[in-house]
Amino acid sequence: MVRFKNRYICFEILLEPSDAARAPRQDQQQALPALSAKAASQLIRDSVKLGFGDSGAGHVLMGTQVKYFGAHTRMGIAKVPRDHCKMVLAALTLATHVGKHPCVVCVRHVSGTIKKCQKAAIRLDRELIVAWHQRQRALAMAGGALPVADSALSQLLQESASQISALEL
Amino acid sequence: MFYDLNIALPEAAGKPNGRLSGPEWAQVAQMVEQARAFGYGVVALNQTIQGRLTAEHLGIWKSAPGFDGADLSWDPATGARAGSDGAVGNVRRGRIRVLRRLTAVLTDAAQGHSLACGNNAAAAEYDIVAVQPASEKILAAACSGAWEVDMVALDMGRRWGFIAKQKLVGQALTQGLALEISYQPALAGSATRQQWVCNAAGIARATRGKNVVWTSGARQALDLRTPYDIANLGEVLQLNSDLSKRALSANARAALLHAFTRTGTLRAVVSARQRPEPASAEPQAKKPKTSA
Repeated sequence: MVRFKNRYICFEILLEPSDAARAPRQDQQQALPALSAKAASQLIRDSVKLGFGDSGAGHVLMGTQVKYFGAHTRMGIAKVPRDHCKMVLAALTLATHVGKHPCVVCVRHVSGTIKKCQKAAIRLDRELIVAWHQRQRALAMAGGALPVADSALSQLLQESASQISALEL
Repeated sequence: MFYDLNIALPEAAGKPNGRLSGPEWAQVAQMVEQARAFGYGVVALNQTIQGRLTAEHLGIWKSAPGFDGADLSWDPATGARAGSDGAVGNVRRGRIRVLRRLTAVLTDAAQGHSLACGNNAAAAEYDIVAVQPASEKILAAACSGAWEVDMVALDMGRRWGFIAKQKLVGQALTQGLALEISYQPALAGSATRQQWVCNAAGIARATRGKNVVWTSGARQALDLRTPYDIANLGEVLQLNSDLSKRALSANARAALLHAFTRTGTLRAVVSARQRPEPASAEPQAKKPKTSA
């Protein structure tokens, strides 16, 4: 009896060019849609269907599952069948829109066990949350509001790290 | 280090004495910044012209602003080339080098001679010169090395009406010409994408991955992809990740070196380099360079 094998993909959805992310403007921030795990799994399925048609979409329909998706960081972990992993990766490269909003999907890590993927995800998550926090702070400064406290940042970091490490197969 | 040798300037840049507006340059700056964030070390801004190259086409580079965190290969004030060997070599960490590229869309074989540095001083200003053949005859001329060009850049999103035969492409490989595959058409609509797979897979098959250069052809920042994502896309074209990686790094560098032998050397044998300290009274040493 041979086990059914999977690949775990750690990916990030970029909704805006990097310079807009670094120097935020209030009006741009509000235009960005909030994404959920459901939207991410829909994105994977749609892009596979667009790139590889019904037969491609059928192959990944059952095995594909978004295990984690961070709303702040727009980073997630997805499980895909190993045999069709390359197809999914190629389809993700070709993805241009999530819903109606233009996007780029960056694959950050691919591994055979969820453990390694969690490690990579936590590392990336830290970077992204710190960047997000700095951006929020810059926005608050520009808007004249009180900046977000540093304790909120460390709490956020701990929370998402424990969320990611709590994932099970 | 990764190279992206095609960041497209808007069409207005391809006209003689063309000008780009402020927002258009801002969009180009956004693409350069995005490429830097994605880990590219060198990008080339691509000016696509129709037919013959003239000195008037160079005017666009004078209007270019400086880009954040980028080293330009030309002087934005005068539009002249900054140094003969600026295109190859290492880039400092966290910075990006911006080069100039010319792509000439040729419909007539006679137009190609305007791209030779000996005939046209304007051609020597560019860090890399590519041709986009409009017919099989032009492709044959380009592949046989009739003109001094570095890259053959077929339009991947359109139906050519001919096949890039292995015999022709093989000639290009022996000449050391690079063949460009840009992935921008793959991000467009379904029909264009289908044509792109047909054309690009044909090139990948004919070259077996040799001398292929992956480029973005991006018109906006979100058209860019990270180098490793492009390697994943290469699987669609039967290019394995090793070949894709070479197409993003070593092959692109070889194309730049090929261009350097045209512009910065005497008959691709000898190049002279300025000493960094001008105070010394010794004569300038000539440094022999082997041709690439």
